[in-house]
Amino acid sequence: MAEPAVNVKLIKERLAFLKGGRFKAWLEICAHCAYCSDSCFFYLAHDKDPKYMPAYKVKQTLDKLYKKKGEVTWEELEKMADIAYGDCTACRRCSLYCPFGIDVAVMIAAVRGILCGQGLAPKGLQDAAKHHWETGNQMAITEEDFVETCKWMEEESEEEMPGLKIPIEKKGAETLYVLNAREVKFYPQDIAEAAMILYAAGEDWTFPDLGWDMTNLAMFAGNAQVMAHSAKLVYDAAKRLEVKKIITSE
Amino acid sequence: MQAFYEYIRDGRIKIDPAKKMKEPVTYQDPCNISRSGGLWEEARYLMNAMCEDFRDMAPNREYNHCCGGGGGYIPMGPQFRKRRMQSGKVKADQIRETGAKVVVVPCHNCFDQLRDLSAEYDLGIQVMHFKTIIPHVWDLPDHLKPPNEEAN
Amino acid sequence: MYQFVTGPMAWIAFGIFFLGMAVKVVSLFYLTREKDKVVFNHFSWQWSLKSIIRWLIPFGSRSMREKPLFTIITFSFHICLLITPIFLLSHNIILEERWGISLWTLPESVSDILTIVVIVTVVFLALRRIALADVRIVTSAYDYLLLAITAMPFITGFLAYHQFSNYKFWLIFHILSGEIMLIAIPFTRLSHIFLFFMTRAHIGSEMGQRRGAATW
Repeated sequence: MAEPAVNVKLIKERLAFLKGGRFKAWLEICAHCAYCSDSCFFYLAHDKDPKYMPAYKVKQTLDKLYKKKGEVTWEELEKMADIAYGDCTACRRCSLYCPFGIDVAVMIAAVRGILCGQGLAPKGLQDAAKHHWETGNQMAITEEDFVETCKWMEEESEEEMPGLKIPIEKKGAETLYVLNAREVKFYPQDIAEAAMILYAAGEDWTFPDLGWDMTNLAMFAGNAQVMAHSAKLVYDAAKRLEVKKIITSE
Repeated sequence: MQAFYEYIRDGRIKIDPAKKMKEPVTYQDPCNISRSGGLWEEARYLMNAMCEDFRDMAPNREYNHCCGGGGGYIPMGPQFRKRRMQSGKVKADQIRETGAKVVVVPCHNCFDQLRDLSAEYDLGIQVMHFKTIIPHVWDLPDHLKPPNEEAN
Repeated sequence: MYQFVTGPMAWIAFGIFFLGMAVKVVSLFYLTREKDKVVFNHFSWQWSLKSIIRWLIPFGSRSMREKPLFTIITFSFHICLLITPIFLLSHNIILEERWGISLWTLPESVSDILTIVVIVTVVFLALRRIALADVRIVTSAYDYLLLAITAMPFITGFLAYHQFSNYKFWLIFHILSGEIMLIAIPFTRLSHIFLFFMTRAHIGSEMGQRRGAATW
């Protein structure tokens, strides 16, 4: 099977766009001192296999892309995808260990952005981003299902706490509550628990009917367009309902 | 989490000391909330308010290790699962060392990862959100209690 | 040859060093303002200074405490590397002769020891690159080249001072290698002598001002 063509022009554009003061300085001054090795749980969990040390991951991805000026093969890109998505969770622990404070996670995120542009983001993340773009949440839950789940949880928890309501799209509420789509789909009890706490605390709150999913898997995929869209949905909901603050479920 | 902290700090929700969790409990600092969110002391305030035997992991707070499920790792799908489980060994060891029976975690990524780790490494732990525990340990004013309890 | 390396070549080397670094720092600053505005959104002098000072103190950071031997080596290396050439007696005699200024100077026996420390620590750093798997994997010829550029002025200076065989040869070699190092600084990773302060200020503010997380 023929390998898909690499869109070198797009990579070059991204690389040029990304090369600000930070990347320029970071890539130049990394002393390869390996202070970062022991900060990384991938490295520690794989019996200190050097290929998991943070500076090496950058060297094999972003640094390589710049050195080759974006002219890389499909095979090389696939290898980078395996590193950028599979060997780093962008936890940022290494940036606390680096003498120069190099933020590896930011560079890995940049690599993900480049790879995503070549269609190399893992399928699970691509699908989630697609769902978020189309339905406003990462799991493609319809507004109807969302409202129904809330109603169901409202009935359940009302038995325990008289007077409890789960308001949706209540304009002028003080607080907007947003959550993770996983809660709606797999752990609906979470909604009831949150509602009970908010009610007990006397919070004047509401769910939005659109923009209730606070997650942003497109950010993890590296899809800037959907990332911005996902964040904007929540922002728009907050503006639309004129709330004063947003509570997220994490 | 900031909200729960404020509710309990300001007395909008009261904790019944008699109901506090007795078994050993630890807390997982999620990267997005602790290291990148700056909310680690608030979490410890809540933990101490809710549990009698809170044991911190080492390292903790902004230096805590990622659970191994962050950065979208879990939804990436099955082809990464094996590596995800192996990489989670650090976290599994950290939890085992505390001897805790319950891990409280405010992050959904961590939540799923820790449940997977518990099965993989046979940790025998229960993973919980703050919001699951609070209703078990609070002291509600009468008008919010269920009707049958009021009758007692 | 001696006339050349101590005359025009010295001017060129110092000129490139100072001018090159100034251009580099200023251009990085403007590039950051243009493309990485986020850096300035959370900038804080307090967190920046804390982040810089902590990393200038031996064992001031968590990673330094986790690798104590390496920390002792790098600190000895950097401290001796900076102090020796600036406070060396013979360098200050030249300054005195040419411009009539001179700094406080180290006793010659002390600067001799500091020079040996630099040479020994460079050897250690090179061996470390070979011995440890995690360092080896990120090491390339370039890393050894930079170590050599840094060590050469000290090795040749040591040989010249002790008048091994051909004094004149080692002296010229010493001056030349010092000039090569000065010229290399703005164009290589050695620029971290200035950029260190910029990148540390950034991460200190980014993690500290924004999230209250200490980067040490």
